[in-house]
Amino acid sequence: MQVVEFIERVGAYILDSILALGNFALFLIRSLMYAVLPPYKLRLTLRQIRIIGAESLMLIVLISTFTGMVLGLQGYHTLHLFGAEDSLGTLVGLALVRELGPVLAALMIAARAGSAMAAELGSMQASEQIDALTVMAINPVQYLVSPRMIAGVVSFPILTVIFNVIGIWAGYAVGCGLLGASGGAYFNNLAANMSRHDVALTLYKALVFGVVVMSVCCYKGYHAKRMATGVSRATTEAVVLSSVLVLAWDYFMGSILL
Amino acid sequence: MYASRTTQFIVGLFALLGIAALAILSFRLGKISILPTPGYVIYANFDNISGLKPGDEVDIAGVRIGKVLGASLSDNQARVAMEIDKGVQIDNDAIASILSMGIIGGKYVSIQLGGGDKTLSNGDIIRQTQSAFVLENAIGQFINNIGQSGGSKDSSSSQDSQQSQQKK
Amino acid sequence: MNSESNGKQTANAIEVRALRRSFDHQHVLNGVDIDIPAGTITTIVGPSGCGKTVFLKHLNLLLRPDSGSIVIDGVEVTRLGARGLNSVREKFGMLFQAGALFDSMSVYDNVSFPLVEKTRLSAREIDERVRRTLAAVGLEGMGHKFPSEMSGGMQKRAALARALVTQPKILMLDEPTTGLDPTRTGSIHQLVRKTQQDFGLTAVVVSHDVPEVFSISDRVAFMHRGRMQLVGTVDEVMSSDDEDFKRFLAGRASGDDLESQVVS
Repeated sequence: MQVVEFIERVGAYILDSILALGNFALFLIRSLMYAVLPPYKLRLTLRQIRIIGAESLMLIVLISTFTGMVLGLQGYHTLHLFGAEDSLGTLVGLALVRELGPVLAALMIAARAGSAMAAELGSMQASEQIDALTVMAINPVQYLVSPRMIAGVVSFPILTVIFNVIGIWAGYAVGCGLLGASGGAYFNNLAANMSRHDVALTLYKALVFGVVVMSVCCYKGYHAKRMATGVSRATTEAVVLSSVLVLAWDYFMGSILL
Repeated sequence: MYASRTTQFIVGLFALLGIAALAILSFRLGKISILPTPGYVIYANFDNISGLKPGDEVDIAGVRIGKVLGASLSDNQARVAMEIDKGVQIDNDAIASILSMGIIGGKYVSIQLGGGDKTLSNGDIIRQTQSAFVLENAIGQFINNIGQSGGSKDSSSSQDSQQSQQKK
Repeated sequence: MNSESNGKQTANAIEVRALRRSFDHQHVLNGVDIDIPAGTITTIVGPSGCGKTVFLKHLNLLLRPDSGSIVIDGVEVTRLGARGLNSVREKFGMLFQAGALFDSMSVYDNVSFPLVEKTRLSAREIDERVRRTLAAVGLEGMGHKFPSEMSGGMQKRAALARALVTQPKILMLDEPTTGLDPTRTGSIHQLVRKTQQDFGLTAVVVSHDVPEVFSISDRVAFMHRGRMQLVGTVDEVMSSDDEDFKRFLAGRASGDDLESQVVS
């Protein structure tokens, strides 16, 4: 009997997972579809770009500065062992542009804006505000989710590129300013080794991460349970799941595209 | 209502910042050009270009004057195409050598100007070249030379063999 | 097609037949049958968790039934697609249990919201209608406040204004007086009665305030175990000798009622 019960439970779990995945995929498709279909929610979208993008700027500046400084410091000491300090620019720049810029920017936005978004949508669900939209014959996905998706797709690349540029200068400041690598070589080597391909990669990754983070955070908030713990749970799950997906997706994209 | 002028202004500023950052990343840090570069292309044939990649630096006296575009095989030699910045003049007696930055650093092409009477233009070839210094070969030879009673003449001739001057 | 009050007094705004819905093997709606005559206030009472709110959310299809039929103004709505649904929903105004005001907007923006989003009225017409509706619910000059700055009773009034501003034909009120003191409960009840008469609405009220709510009701339905156990005028229902209803009126709960689950 216990065996049968166990098998039943595994089966139910697998079925639930497939259903959840399908549900998420439909949610993603609908939110993207309504983003391109009229009526356009330009004002809401601008407002979300302000919240997700512009208001995350200070955090991104802070994080990118320290990331660049750490890369400059550790990169210099390691390259110094081989007398290859001239390659510091390449090391810092490519690490930022190819991996750290898009990934860290995405994680930071997920932690800051994604969590707030999941909590906001979650409490709207809990207090029946989403039902209120539906009752008014307003499509809640189009009204609430699509503007956030567009805002993510716009904001993530911008923040990522800013992250890269600030990080490269911070690496320069530590490596060349404090530790004595050659400044000219820093930028020359970076320029020689960074191609159009790398810049395209950083933008492409940021774009995909924008969709991943926004859709996961919106989905979790939108489907928050109407319980006291529903909103907090949705918020936690949104940040954890979007962070894991960003890192996993980054690996796969890196291995396919590099 | 919701998208106030403040929001519009902030979002506009944010977008502008993003475009500026992308421009810096691409053109200032990446030196990626969208327009066809205002320079000219010259070629040089080397016996061995081990480690030289497209995008590597081309310099005169340590100053960057262009970059390596690519290499192809011609007559069992590597033909390297180099893009030279506009305004830089290279004479027909110049020597192109492949050097390394530090022991494990990347390779680059260094051009030493000669006293030639003509200036190279688009599509011309630098006749005199010096191939890449391959550390493994040099160590191998060094060990050989020690084995062969360490004559000083041999070691100097081995250095010559590294150079393949092609004069016509 | 539409059987709406063509002179007939008995015209039904809503007819529900054999409506069933279960959540996780729990039969919340177990064959609901009810007619709601146009232009009346019908109040649904019953123990907590008997499925009143779930039933209400089926009427405007926030939830879809497993089986059964719902006819609104002569139109069968349970099989409608998105477009048809929207046209049905525009007939409804709904007051949610907790008000469900958008807390990122002021009261004025909340009330004008359905007009701005769903109609082509000019800004002046909208402004005029919003002010009139706010005045009707006694919130004149409060438009600039945010929901978080208002008391529960005022939030309910604002939510009522938002439900009324589109001039719906059918108004649904989910526990309009929960969490209010007796005085405010009375004033909300009077407000509901007054607006219903002023606008000639059909109203469906789900309420806990037994028997106070009966004073404003034309008809009462007692919902028990996923069914409409008693339906009739206030007098008919009050004079019935149904055991479950008597127990509900007296002690508000019996053993099996406590067992039943709360489903929102």
